[in-house]
Amino acid sequence: MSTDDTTDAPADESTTSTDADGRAERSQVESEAQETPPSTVLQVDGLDAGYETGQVLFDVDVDVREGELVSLLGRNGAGKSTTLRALMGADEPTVLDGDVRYRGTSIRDWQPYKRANAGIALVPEKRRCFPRLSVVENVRLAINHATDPMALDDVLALFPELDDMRQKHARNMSGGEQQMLAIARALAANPDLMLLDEPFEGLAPYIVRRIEDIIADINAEQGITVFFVEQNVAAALAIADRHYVLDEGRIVDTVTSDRLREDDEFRQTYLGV
Amino acid sequence: MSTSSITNRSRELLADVSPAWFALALALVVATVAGFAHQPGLFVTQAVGGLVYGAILVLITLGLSLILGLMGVVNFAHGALFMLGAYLSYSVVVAWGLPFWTALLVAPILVGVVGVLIEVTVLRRLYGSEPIVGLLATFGLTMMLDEAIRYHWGTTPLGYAKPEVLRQSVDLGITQVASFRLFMVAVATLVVAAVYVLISRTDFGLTVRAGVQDGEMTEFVGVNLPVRFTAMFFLGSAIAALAGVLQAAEYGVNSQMGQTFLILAFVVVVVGGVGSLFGSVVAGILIGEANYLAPVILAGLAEYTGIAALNISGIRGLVPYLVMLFILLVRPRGLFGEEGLLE
Repeated sequence: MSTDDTTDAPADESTTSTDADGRAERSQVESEAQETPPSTVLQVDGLDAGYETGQVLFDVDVDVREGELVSLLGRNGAGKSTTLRALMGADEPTVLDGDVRYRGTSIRDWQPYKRANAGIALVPEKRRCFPRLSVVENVRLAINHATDPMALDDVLALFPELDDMRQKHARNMSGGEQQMLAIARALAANPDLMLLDEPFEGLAPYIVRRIEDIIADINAEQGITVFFVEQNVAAALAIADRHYVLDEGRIVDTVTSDRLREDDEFRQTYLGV
Repeated sequence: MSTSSITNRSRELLADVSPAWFALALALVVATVAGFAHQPGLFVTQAVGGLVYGAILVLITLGLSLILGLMGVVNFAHGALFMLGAYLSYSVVVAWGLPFWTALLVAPILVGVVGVLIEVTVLRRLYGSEPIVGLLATFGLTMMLDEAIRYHWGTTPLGYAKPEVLRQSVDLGITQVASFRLFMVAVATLVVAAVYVLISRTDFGLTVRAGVQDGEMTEFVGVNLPVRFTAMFFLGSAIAALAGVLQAAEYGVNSQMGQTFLILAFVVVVVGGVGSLFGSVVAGILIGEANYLAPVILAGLAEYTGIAALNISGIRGLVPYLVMLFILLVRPRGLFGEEGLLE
């Protein structure tokens, strides 16, 4: 995908400063990227993070390369969502040690909005669509604050289900529709890296397959690097190339889909399936 | 929708209204008619007074409600900012000798800047804390601002002449109304319309609405929310100051006006529903009118029923709280408050 064309950013007056910041962040990331191997999009080095109640992540290392579709698997409470929240720079968890590098640049001290402006999009746990905003408003919010966004109609063309309910408020939508909206909102920013937190959770099997297809297409056709956390091993196997396995806050291994499929003992030990 | 379906819907709605509510509404209408019939001129004068009072309450409440909805901060300093606007307009007109129209522009901008300083230096550190922390901090700020105002301007009530062009009265047929009061209502209407357009039609408004619903997610989609918070604080403070300027020109300034109006503004927020602009407008007008019309209505009822005890002097001060009590009993989240907005 194109990352050097920033002239198409929306000419909305009230977002000018943010967009200017975003362009600066993105060009800073891109210029510094030349000093590191261009294939690495996300690099997490020895990340320790936790809450007031205690440390959750211990020395987590993750490396996601350009165009990859990688999953982070683990049981409930293993620290998967904590990892994504730390990657987005949320107030909690607190990062205690280690570094998060995006295209070679340390973003550990960046505010969440700067990470988003630089090209990282998040589909969070429980979707978190803005309940009293319409489908169009949810997507437009992301478009208005992205450096190089997609056009609204282009985003909705990828989600015919959403295109038919443009003015519907998110709170009146089903779980599957909200999940599509959360993905559409993230995609609208035309990100380089998309992070998804349990995108299949609580969805009917046929919706799970639809979301699987959407994520696979985002990766294959839009060329967006995808890193997602998941409990649903079958769904992760269906789309991801490589899998990190997290257990009690530590990465225990990184495995291919073949190994994960065939090694019953490994699966049983760390994922309970 | 066909006429028959509208009729059916009306029937369904009426069916939901219990006889007790119907009787209460009818009694209110009859009482209002009695009040009007008793003293038509006074009734209209008081209705306009209520509208003006309501307009000032709406202007103060707009900022208070937006700040509470967006940032979760109960801003006790809002009344002091209103009062600061009033006193600054006095200085602009009397001490600096500039026209009232300059005060109308300069005082809101200066108070907006004070609001920004408060937000950046104090409140920004408190977001995400327990509500009591923000409440205590702004209460402290209120005391500092109140004392600073008393130190600089003294405690004697002050006033200044209104602009020449707005000193005449307007003849409404059965009564005369000061043109400045109509000007106050017009300014409030314009400000409410402008805020409505800002919130519902612009990207700034979209980010504010999203921020009220889920601040963290708003940042995750790339919005620099702290900058919007500061801008919202400027706006809320400036609108409160504008109300202060209008109030000062018509009724003068005194060192108690901040607290008096702040408490009433909280009543309006509770009645209208937290975070609802429309609710603030409706509740502000409702409380303004109830405040001014209650004595006239009770006087009318006393006259027609022969029960002199109904003519309660001093009922005005109690009316806003009676309205709040009634609304809280019927609808605890306020007239237009969203369920769980701040939960």
